[in-house]
Order: sequence, then C-alpha cells, then structure tokens
Amino acid sequence: MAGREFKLVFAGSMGAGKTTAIAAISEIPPIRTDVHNTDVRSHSKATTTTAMDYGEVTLDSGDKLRLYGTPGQTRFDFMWRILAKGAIGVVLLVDNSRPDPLSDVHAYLDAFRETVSSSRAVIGIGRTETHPEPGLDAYYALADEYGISVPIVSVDVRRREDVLLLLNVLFSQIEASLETEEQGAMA
Amino acid sequence: MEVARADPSMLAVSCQRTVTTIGLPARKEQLIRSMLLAVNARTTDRWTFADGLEADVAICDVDSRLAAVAVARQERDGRPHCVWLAGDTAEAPIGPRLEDPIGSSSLIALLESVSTTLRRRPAPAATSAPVAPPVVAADAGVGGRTALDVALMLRDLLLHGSSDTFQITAGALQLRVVPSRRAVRASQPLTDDYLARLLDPAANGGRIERLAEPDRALTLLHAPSDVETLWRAGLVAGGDALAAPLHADAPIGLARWPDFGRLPHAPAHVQMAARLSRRPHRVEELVTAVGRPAREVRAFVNACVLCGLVSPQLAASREPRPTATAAATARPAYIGMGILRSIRTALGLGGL
Repeated sequence: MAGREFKLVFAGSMGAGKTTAIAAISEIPPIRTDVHNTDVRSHSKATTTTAMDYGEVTLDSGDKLRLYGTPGQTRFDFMWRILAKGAIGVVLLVDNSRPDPLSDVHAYLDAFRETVSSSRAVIGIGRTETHPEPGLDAYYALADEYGISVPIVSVDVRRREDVLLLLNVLFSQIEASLETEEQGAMA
Repeated sequence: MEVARADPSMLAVSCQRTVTTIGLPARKEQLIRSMLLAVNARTTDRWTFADGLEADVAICDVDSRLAAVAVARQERDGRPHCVWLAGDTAEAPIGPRLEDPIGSSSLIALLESVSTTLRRRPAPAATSAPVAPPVVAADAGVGGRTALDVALMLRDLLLHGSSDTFQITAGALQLRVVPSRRAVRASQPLTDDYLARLLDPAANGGRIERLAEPDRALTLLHAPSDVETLWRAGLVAGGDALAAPLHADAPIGLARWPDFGRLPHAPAHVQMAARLSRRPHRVEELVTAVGRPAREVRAFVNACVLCGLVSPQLAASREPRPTATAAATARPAYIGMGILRSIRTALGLGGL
C-alpha cells in the first residue's frame, strides 16, 4: 500500500536560499529546474529556478515528506498559492541584501496569508551579518500591519543546523497550536 | 592695503561622507556608484558609496518600505539625510528630492547642500537623556542585590542611551558598555561561567561604575552584541525569581520570538517561545507544558524580559491571539502530533 504524502514549501525571492535549504535536508539530490537568468538587472545569478525545486524525506512509516521550492519571481505567484494548498507549512526565506527585502516579504505574506495566519509559517532572514538593515524589528512591524504573528529568525541556510532550526520553530508552532485545540476540546 | 579675511566656514577641511540607496533597482544603484566616482572632484567633501543606514545620505525609492525605516532613523538620530528619487510623475513624500533621471549637476547640488547642512549642524551633545543613569554608588554595597538585579541594571543602562562608558568589574573580569552605541566589550569570551562570576554581587559589589576615560571601552578584546549579552545574562542569572514587574501568578506572553539564529538556546526554549507567542502562560503552566524545572523556565522568561521580548499587554490574561482559531480551521486535517513526531525523527530534530 502506498504511503501517505506530506508537503513542505520553501518560498522566497531569487537567491534567498530555497534550493540550498532543500538540499540541506533532502535524502535525494534535489531536482532543480534552472534556466539562464534573463533578469540580471535585479539579480546577478547565472541561472534561476523557473519552476520548482524538489526534494524528499522518507519517514519511518514509509510515508514521504515532499519538499517544494517555489520559483522566486513574482510572475509565478499563482504557483505559490497552488503549492501552499495542503502543505504542512511554509518556510519563507528572505535575502536581506536585496534592495527592498521588506517588499519581498510583503508579496509573500499576501500569497501565503492563510498559512501564515494559521501558525504554519516561519520566516528566515539571510545575510543579516553583512546586511544588518532592515533589522528583525522592521519585519515584525510588517507582520503587525497584517495582524499576524509569525516567528522571524536570522539564518544562514548554507548551515544545515540553521535549516533545522527553521523547521524546529515551524513544527513547535504547529504543536503548540494542536495542544491548544486539545485543551479546548477537553474543557 | 587691508588683507581680506576669509570666511572661516569656507576654509573647512574636506570631510569623508557616504551615500547609500534604499530600494532602488540595481542599475540605478550602480549608476549612483559610478557618478560618485566622477563628481568627487567637483564636491567640497569626498563622497563614497556605503551600504547600510549609517550613511550620511540615503537616496530612497518612494515605493520602498525600507525607506520608512530610514526616515524613522533620521528623525531619531539625525541621519541618514533621506532624499527621494522621484520621476516626473512619481509622487514623493515631503522632503528633499532628486529628479530621475539623475544628472551629475543635480547630484552635485544635492551633495553640496547636504555638506553645508552637516557643517552647520552643532556637534551632538554628550547625551540628551537625563544625566543620572541607574548606576549604584560605589559605597552602596551589595544590600541584598542578586545577579538578576545586576543584569537588570545592565539592561536599564543600555536603554538609557548615555554616551558615557560603564564597567562591571569582578576581580580580573570586566565588562564595559557604551549605551549610546549599544556597544559591549568583554575581557573574556561570553561564556556562562564568565557571566555568572561577573554578575555575582559578592564579586562585583552590586555596582556598575561610570568610567572617567571613555576611550578605554575599545581596549577589551571581545565584542558580543548587546542582545546576546543580555540574553545570556538572563539565562545565567535569572532562575530564582522573575524579573519585575512579572510575578509567578501573572500570565506572561511574548511579543517577539528570541532570534534563535543568533542566540544560544536549548530545545525547550523553542518550545516555550512557541507557547508564549500563542497565548500567555503562567510559569506553572509552562513548566507542565514543556516538562522542564521551574528554575529553567524562569531563567528563559527573564532572558526574554531583558531582551525586551515580553509584551506588557500580553502579561495580562486575555483571549488567545487570532492565530489560534484560524489554525483550527485552516490546517490540513491530517496534521497531528504523530506525523510531526515522525518528521522530527526523520530529520534528527529531536522529540517533544
């Protein structure tokens, strides 16, 4: 009998580290769909993901955790919503060295509002050591504008322990949410 | 023949100044970088490009959200000097403008204008805050103070924003802070043992002294961040009681998560943060929820207090935040504790 499948989404702008983060935890070499980057004015990468990154983790029950990285360009935002449907949660990665990272987050909070509002998201801010502004307070202020509570953490997804930290924070939130519901049901 | 006396302001020495951009497309930022190299021979001061909001001038995109951060900093600190890059049809907020497309003459005019403004600005006062920071007098003695009290004094000093240098001394151990720069310098790496000895009132006399020679702040080798210093101080010093104004019977909540990417932490800290950010908990509830000793829970809460993460509004009992009810309806039905436990095991994340 086929095992169950679960989905985890990694979102963020081009160069934010989605592919790197998936590679850090996937048990298979991630499948990447790269083409030549035609938008070098806004980013200097030679290639960029125009479809999705994919990785997977096999659970002890034989079930699969499928890892999806969204394309970074906003013209693919319709795919972000599709991928978010039924996902356990979303890891939103931000490149703090971009010209306007707060606007990047603004776009993703719009696209993943339901997921973020239901405590199934975490935001990881990268490159804060070389680009300390905007600070985490600015991102929290943006989340406050949306009326949502979301954990925001400085990370370097080239380090596997930082990717695991993001997932630990994400799962801890979901677990706390389940605990609250159980307590409510017992009351 | 009378010798003409030059206006002293015209004899000002050329200063090094910096320009940054906020929210501009990469090609416009590159254009400004190139133009600075070209116009420097025609400006009073020497201008270079720098990243970050510490620059003298920030050329901002009118649609950039980060620009609001720069403006707030200008209002608070007097810099950067924010200028809006505006095209013919763009509506810029009130304030200096630089027309787009950018011409060298308009850029030179802007830079000269800022140079003049900065030269006319009086030197910043040593501090605009009240002169008396919460420093214990040298002869006040230990007087029942605890390590947590000393940590709270350190926190209050940093909030006070004085430009003086203050020092905690415990034997050969020293910690210096310059509150106005949020700078911390330590004589040793910031370990738990170092902080425990440094914060012990029996060792430091329960006091923080103001140094007469401020430049000594730069001579200690180690430079931890102010946030990490306060965080570690809370964990090390704060297990016996809760920091005022919290008390054991009052629910406590978090307005912000600790930045676990930068702060040392235990697995239980993430669990506690997840619960406290959802709804307020009493210490006793948190002990039960995470299965850790009360002392460890209090230390975590105190570390959060010292770092300004506890919200006074959340310290009162109230309804759970909107995320709680949204979670129940929006989450896929198949997500349960069992699945999460299985995923944690597969990733080597450790259990609940």
